[in-house]
Amino acid sequence: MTSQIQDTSSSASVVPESPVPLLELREITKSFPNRIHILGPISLVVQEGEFVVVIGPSGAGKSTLLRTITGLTDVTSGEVLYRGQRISGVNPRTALVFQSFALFPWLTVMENVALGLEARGLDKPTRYSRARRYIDMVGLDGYERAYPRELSGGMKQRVGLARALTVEPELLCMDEPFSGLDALTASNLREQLLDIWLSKQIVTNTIILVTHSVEEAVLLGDRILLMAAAPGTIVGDYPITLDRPRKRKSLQFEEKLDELYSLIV
Amino acid sequence: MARSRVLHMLWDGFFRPLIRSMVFFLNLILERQRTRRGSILLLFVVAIGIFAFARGMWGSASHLLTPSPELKDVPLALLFSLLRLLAAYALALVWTLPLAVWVGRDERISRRVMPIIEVIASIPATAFFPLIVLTIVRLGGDMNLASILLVTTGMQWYLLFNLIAGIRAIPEDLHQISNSLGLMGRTRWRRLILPAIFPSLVTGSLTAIGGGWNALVLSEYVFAENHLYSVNGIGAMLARATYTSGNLQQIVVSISAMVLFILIVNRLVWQPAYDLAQRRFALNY
Repeated sequence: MTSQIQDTSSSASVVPESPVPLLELREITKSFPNRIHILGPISLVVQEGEFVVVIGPSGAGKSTLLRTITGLTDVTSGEVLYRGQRISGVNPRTALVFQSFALFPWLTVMENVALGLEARGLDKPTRYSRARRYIDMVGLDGYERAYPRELSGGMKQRVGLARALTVEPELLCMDEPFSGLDALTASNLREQLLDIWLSKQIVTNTIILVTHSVEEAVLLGDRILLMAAAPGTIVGDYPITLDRPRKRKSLQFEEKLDELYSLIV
Repeated sequence: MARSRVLHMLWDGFFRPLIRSMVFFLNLILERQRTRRGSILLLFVVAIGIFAFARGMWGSASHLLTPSPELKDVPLALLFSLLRLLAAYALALVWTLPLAVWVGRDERISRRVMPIIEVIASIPATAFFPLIVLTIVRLGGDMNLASILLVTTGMQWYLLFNLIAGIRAIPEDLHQISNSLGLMGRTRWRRLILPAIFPSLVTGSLTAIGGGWNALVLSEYVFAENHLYSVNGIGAMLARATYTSGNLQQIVVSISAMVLFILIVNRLVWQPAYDLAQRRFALNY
């Protein structure tokens, strides 16, 4: 049964042009030390430039999948290949955005955003000038000296996004980045993320985003991966070919949404 | 009849104002002291002072009022004791901080190591003070070193358990983002671990220093094998006055000096540190 699932997921990759994919997962599985099998086997190919949205019920291992891709969690078996190279440990060309923002409360916006560059040993002027660029890009100019507790949820997530972009990753991983925000703020931030990505102002051109909102998936993704729980596996891989910018009220959007809902249920 | 009138006069003229001023003073302390342990410690010390004072009033009031020549030694003794306390604090911090990080971070290590630590911590170190002093002296160390080590035993567990709790309180997502950004070594200590445990470091230090003052009395004046090992310090002064000379004035003065000093340190060091911990280093935002 699981081999069938792998077949659908790996054969359905929609962008065939690049010979070496940006990311390839080969039959990865993940078990906890107490031997509870939580993920896989999963095989997956992500091409450069794709916006992949992973959707599934809670407990399906979406977050765990994202953490194995970034190298924060190691796999129990299988391989994670990045540009054809086997990755062990944290992949420095990836960055992660958290649902919980994960900001350092004792650091200012500027210090939070520049933290990844500090870790890479860059001097202060260099890291601050680079960080300022991304702070401006997410619309937080003027807040460089504010502390996280002085910011609204939406602004906190902008800091999280700016921090991830500042390390100029090739692959940006986002773990339910808009789930902790109110609908209006989430919608604004989604638009802004798309603007930044589509305008090619950033090095990052590949995004993997985890969500539990079908609408968000259809709004953002080039491709939707559907996961099922216990153990977490990919049970569906759907391309979304709607033109951008996508209008929530358009007929095509509604049709695609209905189609996906029927596939999921 | 006459007797009850005397009691009445005593009550109105002396005990009532005394109790009232005590209550006033305690309220003052309780309001100013923000931590419970700090105020309990102070209450305890103040209560001893008041008890000694009351006994002195009852017993030999005249004896108390003649200044003894030992009084001029109090400031220097206090200074020596403070230096000893700081050395003991540094010593306790040096070993508890790395151990706390090691134990607090990993759940599996913690499950194995914590029971051992708890058993060791439950051993009453004071019972072994003479043995420790003899061992150190025989190995060629002096009583000053022994005394510092003894004070350390009275401080270390407060620090260790508070620090472990502090390390455990660091949210998992902050560790993950630190890993993701490649925050390692010194930068990780400076940006993540030290700021995150600052509040528990303050609480731990406050209680450890309190425990240290407490241990000082027993650590500066130790009888072992019919020999007295003692150093110049406020604790030794207090112990000597209590156990040998019975100089009530000495007892009252050393306790008062200690209480006053602790109050000042709390005001100037711990309260600002505590406020800073709440303001800047609280983990919720």
